[in-house]
Formats: sequence, structure tokens, C-alpha cells
Amino acid sequence: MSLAASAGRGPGAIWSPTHVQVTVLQARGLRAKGPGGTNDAYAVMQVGKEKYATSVSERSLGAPVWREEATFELPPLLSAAPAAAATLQLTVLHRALLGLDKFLGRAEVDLWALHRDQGRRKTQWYPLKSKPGKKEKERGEIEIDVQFMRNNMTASMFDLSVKDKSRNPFGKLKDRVKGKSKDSASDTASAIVPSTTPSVDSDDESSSRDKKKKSKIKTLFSRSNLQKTPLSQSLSVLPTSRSDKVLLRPGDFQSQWEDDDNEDESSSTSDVSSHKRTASAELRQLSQITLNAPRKEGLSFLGGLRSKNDSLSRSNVCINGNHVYLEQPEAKSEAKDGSPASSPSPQGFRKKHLFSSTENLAARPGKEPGEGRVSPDRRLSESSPKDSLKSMSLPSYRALAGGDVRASMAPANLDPVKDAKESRKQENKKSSLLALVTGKKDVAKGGEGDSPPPVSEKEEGVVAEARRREAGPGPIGDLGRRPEKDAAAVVSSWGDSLNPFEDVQVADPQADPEAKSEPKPPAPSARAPQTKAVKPRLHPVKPMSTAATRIVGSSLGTATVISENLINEALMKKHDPADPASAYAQLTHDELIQLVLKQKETIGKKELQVRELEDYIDNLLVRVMEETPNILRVPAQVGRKAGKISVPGQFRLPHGCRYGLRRGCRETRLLGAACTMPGGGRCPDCGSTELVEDSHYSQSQLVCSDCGCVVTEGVLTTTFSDEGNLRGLRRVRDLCRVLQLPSTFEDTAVAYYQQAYRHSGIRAARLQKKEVLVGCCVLITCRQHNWPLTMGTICTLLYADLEVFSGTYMQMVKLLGLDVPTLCLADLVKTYCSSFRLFQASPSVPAKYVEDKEKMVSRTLQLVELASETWLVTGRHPLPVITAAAFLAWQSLRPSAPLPCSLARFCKLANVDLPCPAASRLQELLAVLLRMAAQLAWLQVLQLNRRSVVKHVGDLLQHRQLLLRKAFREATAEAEAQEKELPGWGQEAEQGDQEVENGSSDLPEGKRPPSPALLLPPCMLKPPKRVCPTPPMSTVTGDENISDSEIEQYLRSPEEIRDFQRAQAATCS
Amino acid sequence: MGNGTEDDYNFVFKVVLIGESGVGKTNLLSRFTRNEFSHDSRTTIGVEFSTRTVMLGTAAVKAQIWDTAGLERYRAITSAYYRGAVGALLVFDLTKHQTYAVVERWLKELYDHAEATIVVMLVGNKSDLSQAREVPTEEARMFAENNGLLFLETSALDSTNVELAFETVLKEIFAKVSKQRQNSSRSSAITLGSAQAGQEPGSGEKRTCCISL
Repeated sequence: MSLAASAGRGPGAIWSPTHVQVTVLQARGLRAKGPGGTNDAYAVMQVGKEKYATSVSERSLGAPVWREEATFELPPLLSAAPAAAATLQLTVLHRALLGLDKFLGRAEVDLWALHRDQGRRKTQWYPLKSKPGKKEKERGEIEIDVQFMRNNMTASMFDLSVKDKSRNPFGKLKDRVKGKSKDSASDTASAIVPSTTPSVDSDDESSSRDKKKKSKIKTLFSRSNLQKTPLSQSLSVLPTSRSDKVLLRPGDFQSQWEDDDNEDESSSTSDVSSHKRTASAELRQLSQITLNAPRKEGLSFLGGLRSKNDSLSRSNVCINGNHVYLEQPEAKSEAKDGSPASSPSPQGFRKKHLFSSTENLAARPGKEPGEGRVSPDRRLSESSPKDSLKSMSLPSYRALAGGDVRASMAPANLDPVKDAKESRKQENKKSSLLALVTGKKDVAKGGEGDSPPPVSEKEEGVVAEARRREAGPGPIGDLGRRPEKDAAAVVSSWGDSLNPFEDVQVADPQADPEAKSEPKPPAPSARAPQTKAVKPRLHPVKPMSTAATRIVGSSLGTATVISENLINEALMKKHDPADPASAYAQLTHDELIQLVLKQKETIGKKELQVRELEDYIDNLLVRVMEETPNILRVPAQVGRKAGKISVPGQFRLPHGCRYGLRRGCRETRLLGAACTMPGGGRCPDCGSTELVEDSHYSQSQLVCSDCGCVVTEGVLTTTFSDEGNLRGLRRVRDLCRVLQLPSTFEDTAVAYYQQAYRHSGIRAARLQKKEVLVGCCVLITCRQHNWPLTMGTICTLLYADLEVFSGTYMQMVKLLGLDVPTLCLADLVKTYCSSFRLFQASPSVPAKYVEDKEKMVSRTLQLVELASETWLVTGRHPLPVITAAAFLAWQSLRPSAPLPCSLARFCKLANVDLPCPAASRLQELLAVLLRMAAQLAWLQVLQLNRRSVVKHVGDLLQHRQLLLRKAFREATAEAEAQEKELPGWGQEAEQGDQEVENGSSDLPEGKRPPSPALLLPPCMLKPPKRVCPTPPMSTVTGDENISDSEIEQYLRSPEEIRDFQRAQAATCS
Repeated sequence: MGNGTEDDYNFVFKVVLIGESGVGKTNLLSRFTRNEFSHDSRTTIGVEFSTRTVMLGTAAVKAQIWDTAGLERYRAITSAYYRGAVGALLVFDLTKHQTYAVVERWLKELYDHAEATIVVMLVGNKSDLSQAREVPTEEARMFAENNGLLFLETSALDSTNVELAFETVLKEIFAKVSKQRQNSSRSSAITLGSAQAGQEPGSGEKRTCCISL
């Protein structure tokens, strides 16, 4: 906020509003569209895409009043890129009962220009115009109020945002602003802001009840602020605002503060309390110097602070962030209270504060004559106990009171303006001081430490001051009482008085927790009683202060200390709600008792729960003790005290294992010595201290990295499900990523894995199988999504044994009851073929071998289809078939060059693996092709062989359907004929053999006429070589031989055993 | 957990630690089995045991010492806890008389749930805090004698008598078991029937034979 503030006031400084709040106040001179010259008018506000409409002002006679507001977000970084101008479009419409609403007029406001030219806020009449391109008419005008805001967020958010901004995009801007205005008051201004804000803060935080008041207060401020007045003006304004205040502040304040009715000084006193820390030593020194000098020094002090704290002041912003955010809500409420036209935006409010504060500063040197300067001591002293910066504001009052020994009224007589200014200044100082404090705690502390004694003395001397103090906490009350006095003074003091505490509370904790804690020790005992006195009040903070002041009145000496404590306590309370005291401080005795009873009850419940839990655990334990007591054993190893390896047992791994482990250890060691046990364990086997933790299947073990001896077995760190999840799931995901599968696949695969893992069969399976399981899940997923992925591919990736894999795959499919479609060949062909490196000429692929991808894929596909139609694919791995088909396709497309190429060469060229069955698949394919060629008359003439048939693949494929059908029909006929000829089992087998010979091996050699029988499924072509004899339907006679081992199973009684042994002995001998 | 030395044992004796909460049972146990002492005394939750193998003469005895929270109330685990125990250390805190005063109650519970032949030792723990002693040694000793208990004062902190206490108990148990074994060897029929203690003697017998040969 300091940024905003300083920017706002700084000459030419550009602050970038993030939001704009538009209030449509009213319109006049609207054209009458409704009945009887009235309008049901409403206005639509639009900035960018955001659009808001007001309510309908019914029956307005051309002059509707809306007073409705909307807040728009401005395009980011307006200031940086003014080009992105935000235009506010206002459209006034008449709500028609039927049909479209009627257009009454529109106005456009260039927000950015407005902002640049006129600062943050503007209320203005804008003429309404016709729609673009239409004839211009007299359409009246509309009054809107535009406020630019830095942020539209909630208080807390605002706070954060401010902080962030200082770091981020706005950081620079801020810095720039700072840089510019360092010398001027802007810096101080930023400092000042907190002071005003704090007051707001406290209210907000403390209680909603207070909010009202505060908002009122704000309105006061804002009023004064509203007028874009130079400093002098603001001062003049203040009085009026004060009167406002008086009005505004009705019973609320008084009721609260009645007790505290005090002398006029109250405000100053409050200030005192807050200030002391910063004021500390330096101020004292000032006081000792001559009047003029002190002033200068004071200034220089400020200046010094500034210079010193430049960075600090920034941090200050953060500190003040609290204030700021507090302020905001209030400002809003204020806006609500006030009429829309006059409602000031928070920004404006702030800004004004700044103005005034800066003004104060400027004015200060002149206005703060001797009077103020005499007092510093006092100020310090008084303020010091309270440990608040506010003391700074006191000086003028004090000076008067202390120096002149006037009555308490004296301060009132003092120029209120001055006071106000001073207090403001003080606050400025305060904030800067705060920053200083944060930066330099020592100074502050020293000041604090030293100050208390003098304070007490002086205070005792002057009763009036004490009174003042009393009043301090309840400045509001004072205000109410002395309306006659200069309102400005009151206002300022009031604001201050509110602030001081708040400020201290808010800012201090953040700024200097140490300092906070420091003051306490002196009178810890004093605290409690005071709190009690305060208790009845709901507002924790203020009561405290009042109490403190009261005590001060009664016994000044101790009071100072006490008040300090109180403040601290209040701080604590406010700041840290966890503090038990804060929670109960306001409760009455009865309430406390009730509370205790309630707590007791809850504790009882809890105990019951605990008891139940214990019982539950006990029951579990009993079961464990009875079933697997071993898991209750305290792991006798690294144990709870890390690093100590006591007696542990050790066991050796078998040699093979040991090597692996050792290797693992090495790796671990490579990963970092961090794994090595710190506590100097020793390998009992080789004496090496190189004991490392080795994670072996999710079980960490302590292993000697030199000899591989497992020193301690790890505790189970994970459950089985964890193991499955952690390792397996990760692997599944990895695999999916390696295969570049869509993310949905990943999830599905993971789900399958988890599902599978729930089956005991799989959970208990060998590790090898579990590893494979990962692949299975992925494969199943792919299959289900028709993703062309082969088992072979996954096996290669996983280095898995294909048989294990397929076994696991089948098991899993069965276990999970999955419906897994078989691989779609076409897809596989496409993907597999496109992995060939034959489609672009490259050093490894000579141009003559390059083939068009599309053509090749489609032909390969045809060939594969052919193969599948001729039963060449069924039950076989698809890749070899595809490879063969691709080879054929490649050769056939441009037979000249590739023809002499071998399959192996082709695979090399294409950069694919040559699956070993590919060659046989190729032969089979060729055989099929030859057969098909034999069916074609014009090819029969050519006497094709396996080489030459390739050239005609295109033709053959073209007539594939026909040829196949023909071949198949003939084959069936033939088969039927054969069946008739050769009945009987064995013979049929023979015939099958012959067929086979015919089909595959013989044909290429052309020994026999081609037979289309090849197109039968292999089970018909190739009956099992060993015909399994049908089990003889022998009936059990009881005479069958029974093996000895079988007999043993049936033996029961000792007699039988004896007999059996005897019989055996007999047979042996 | 394969444990080289602990695998070679002839007997497993289950020993339970009982006594009021906070008397130092867990630390006694950790001192004995792991030679550790923990200063952050948290109440034991649940049940756990540790083992340590001790050579008694020629026999390796694996002491399986069970530890649980010394809670006052009856717990479901109680009977399971005592089941099969052949030895017990009834621990009290000699700096807190109250823990000594309830020894009788513990004794009763012990005899309610454990076998009558169980070997019990009364252990006054925290002997390092002699200045805060509330239970005179003699009083405790008298009590132990009257009730047929062994007695020792220990300190888990400085490990005074900890080993001795456990070993004494184990020896006593061992003596009893050997006696029983001799008896049982005469009538060999029952051996298998009796639970843990009974089982071990069988294997123990074998080994001792081997060793003596």
C-alpha cells in the first residue's frame, strides 16, 4: 500500500491499478421511451468482457438514480503497456416489457486516460451518445464515479498481494517510485500509511462489532481525504470530519470507552504507549539538545532512518501490509456507508492519508517549536514503558504538560493541528522506526531498557500526564467530550491512538518478536489480574490497554512496566490466538467453570475412545501373539537409536546372491556416502566399516559393502501392497511412457496391475513373474485399446522370457476375467511397417531401395491379409509374418532393384530385427502365391518359381478373393473325397502328412501339382504328428498293477506298513 | 530372521516383564537385549519382545522376553501375554513406593494367568537413584523371600545387575526344566504334548548329547 500511496502522490509517478470500481450514480436528460415520458432505465457497465448491469430504475422521469457500483479487473500492468487501453462502456437502456430493451444512450470512458489524467478517482458527468454510426441526438448524460484500485481482493489477500508485488512485477515500479521520492515525503508517506491503517486493522481484527465504528472513522478520514486537497486543505478538512466523527461515533464508542473517560490527552497517551521503542535513545538525546537542534535532529533522524532503512522501509511495507489489508475492508465499508458519490475508494483514503501525513511532516519542522522538543525525554520515558512507537506523537503534548506543568487540559489547548501533525509524524517515524527496529533490534532494545525508570519518575511527578495516559486507551471517549477542540487534532490523535496499539500489535510481532518478548519479564505477575479486570469486555486488545492505563493512574511506577506487559500481552493475544491466555482472558468465572466442565466431558469422551482403541489394539495383539508372534519382536538391529548395531544376527547369502548384493552395495555407495551408516558399525565378517543400507525388494538391509554380508535384515518398511504399488506401479508407468502410450492407457494399466496384485496367486508369484506382470498389464491395456503392441516388443523391453510372459499374460487375463481382443493385424502392420527405414533415402538406405510408405504399407497389409486367410497367421507370432509380407511387398513393388535382396539384407536395410520364423513365413507366403498363380491361366504359362512369382504379386493380390475362394472350394471337395477314400484314424493321419508335404515343402520344388488344400487351417493340414491314442475304454478290473509309491499313499495302519515292508523285502530278495 | 548365533539354541524360555507403568521394564529389556538405554521414557504401547541367547553351562538358552505396558486395568492381551511364560520379572521402581505396594496385585495376576511353576523375580529398578529411594532393600527382600521370589535391585541406566537378574531367572528356569526333563525322559510319552517348554527339551536333549559326546 505504501507503494500505492507513494505512487499516487508522487509527481508523475505511475501506479498501476489492478481494479477499477465504477459507480453509476445517475443519469439525466434521458430520452423518454416508456409510457408517459418515463423510463425504466438501467445501465450496463462493461470493461473488456466483464459486464454488469444496474438495477432498473423504474418510472424515472429521464433522470434515474442508481448509485450502483461494479468492480472490474483491469488488464494487467496497465502502466507498463498503456496500449492495452481499458475502456469503460456505459450503455443506458430502457427495459421494455416486450421485445428488446430500448437503447437510451451510451458513453465510453477511457479508463487509462482517466487514470493518468486525474488520479485515482473521478466523479464526472459523461454525455450519452448514440450507437456508433447512427445519428447523434441529445441523449442526456450520465454521472459515474470511477475509482482505481490497486487491488480488489479481500483483506488478507491484499496483504499478500502487496507483499508479493513488492517482490514481483510491482517491485520494480515500487523501487522506482522509492528512488524518485526518497528525498521527498513519499518515503515517509509510506511509513505513515501504516499508522492510519493500523487503527483500521485493530478494529477489523478485534471484532466485527468495532467495524462499524471504524468504518465511520474511516469515513472521517476518507472525507478529509476525499477532497483532493493539498496538505493544507486536508488539515482544514479535518475539523469538519471531526464533527462528522462526533456524529458518527455514537454510543458505540462511548460504551466501550466510557470507563476510560479521560482528559484530552488520551490520544497522546495512547501514542506514548506505542512509541517508546523507536523513539528510544535517540529521541532522548534530541530532547537534551536545544530546541532547534532537536528538531533538526529529529528530521535528520528521520532522514537517517530513511537512508539507513531504505531497504528496511521496503520491508516496512510488508510490516505495514497488515495495516494495509486491514484498512481495505474498512474503506469498503466506509464506501457503503457513505453515499455512492462521496464514498471514497480505499485508495483514495489511503492516498489522502499520505497526503496529510506528508504534509504533516513537511509542516512539522516549523510547527513543532520548542514545545515539542522539550518533551522528548518525557515522551520517551513515558512511551518507553509501553514500548510503542506512539510515544513519538506525545512529544508536543508532553512538552507542554511536563515542561509547563500545565493541567491535563493543556494538551487540549495545544494546537490540535500540530498535535495531529506531530502524531502523524510520529507515526511516520514509528513506521520507519519500526523498520529500523526490525533492522536494528539492539537500538530499540537499548532504548526500551533504559527508558522505563525515567518514565516512572517523571510520570509520578506529573499527575496530569498520568491522567492523560488513562485517557490514552480511550481516545474516542475523549473525542466525544471535546468536540469544541480542534477536530483535526482530535481526529489525528484519535486515529493515532487507535493506531498505536494496533500498530504495535500488528507491526511489532512481525517486526521484532524478540523485542516483544523482552518487555514481559519485568512484571509477569501483574498481567493476570489486569487481564481479569479486562475480561468482561469483548474486545481483548483495547480493554487491555485501558486496564494498563488505569493501573498507571493508580501506581505510576509499576504501571509503566505493567502497561508494557499488557500491551505485549495484547500483542500476543492478538497475534497468536493459540495463546491459551488470550482465549480465556475475556471469560467470566462462570464461563470458565462451564468451560472446564465441558472440557472434562470431552476429555472423558476422549478417554473412552482411547480405551476402546486400546482394547482394539489389544485384541489385535492377541491375535498376532497367537498367530505370528515373531512380528512383535523388537528388531535387534539399527533399531531406534540409529547407528548402533548391537548384537544382530547375521546371515550369509548364497554366493550367487552375494555377488548381486555386492554389486547393489557398490551402486549404493556410488550414490553417496550418505547411505553409509554413521555410527561406525562393523561387519562381523570382514571387519569392514563399510556398512550400507541396501534396499532389496523394498526391504532395506544393512549390508557390508566389502564382503556382501548382510549384517542386519531390514525391517519390513512397506507392506505388500506398498511394494506392489511402489515398485510395480512405477514400472507400469515407466513402461507406458517408454512406449509413449496415451496417458489413459497408463491409468488403465495401473488399475489392472493393482487389480492383479490383489490376487493371491499373483502376489505370491515369483519375482520374475511380477516383473512380467507389469508388461502384461500394459499389453492388456494396449490390446483393449487396439493399440498395436506385441508381446514380443514388451518382452524385449523388459528382458522378459516370452514364455513366462505369455504364461503370466494368460493367467492374468484369466484371473481378472478380462476380455482382451486379439491384436488387430492391420494396426500392427501399419505401425510395424512405419518403423522401417525404407521410406527415405539415407546413407544406409540407397535410393534404389527406397519405397513409398503408403504403397508399401497397403501392399504389406494385403499380403498379411492373404496370409491370414490362408491360415498362415493363426497361432503364430505376427511380426515374422509381417516382416515377410513387408519384404514381399517391398520386392514386388519395384522388382528390379530389390529383387536380389535377401530377407536378411532387407531387415538390415529397414533397420528392424529379423525374427527367425520370418524366413519360413516367407516361404509359406511364396508357396501360397505360387499356388494362386497356378490358378491363373496366364501365369501358369510362365512357370513361375519363388523368385519370379514376386513380380506378379500385384496381380495375384488383385484376384486374391477369387483365387482363394476357388482354392478353398476345391480344397474342401478334395478333403471330402479323401475322407471317403481313407477312413480310419491312422490313415487319415497319413493322408494329412502327405498333404503337408504337398502343401509346404514339396510345392516349391514343384514336384506335385499345386493343390489349394493349403488354404485349410493348419489343424487340418497338419494333424499332430504323434497321434494320441484314445485312451482305451478299459474298465477297472482290480487286477491292474499298482505302483509302490501309489500303494504307500493308501497305507494307514501299522500293520499295513509292516506287511508292505515285508512284501517289499521279499520282492527285493 | 536368521540369526547366526541365535539359531543355535537348545531352549527358548519365554520370560515376561510385569510391573507398574513407568518402572523401567522396557529399558531393562533394551539394556539386556540390546545394551541400550533410552532416556525419553515413553509409555510402551502394545506388546513386543526381544530375544537374547545366553549360554548356561553347555546349553544355549534363548530368552524371549516380552514387554508390555504396565497398565492397571485388565487387558485382553493379559492371558495371551502370560501364556507359556516360564519366567517373569516383576519390576518395581524403588524410588516410588506405590509401585512396590502393588507388587502383590501383579503377583496375583501373574499366578492367575501363568503356570504355577513360573519363576518369578522381584526386581527393584532404578537403583542408581539411591538418594530417592523409597523402598528399603530389606523390605523388598523380605517380601520376596516370603513369597518365594527371587530378588535383585537393578539399574537399567547404569546396567547394574541387569544381566545378573535375567541370567538368574534363566538359570532358575533352566534348572527347573532340566529337572523336568529328567522326569519326562523317564516317561517320554508326554513330551510332545506340553507346549513350548516341553518342545524345546526334546531338541535340547539331542544337542546336549552331542555336545557332551
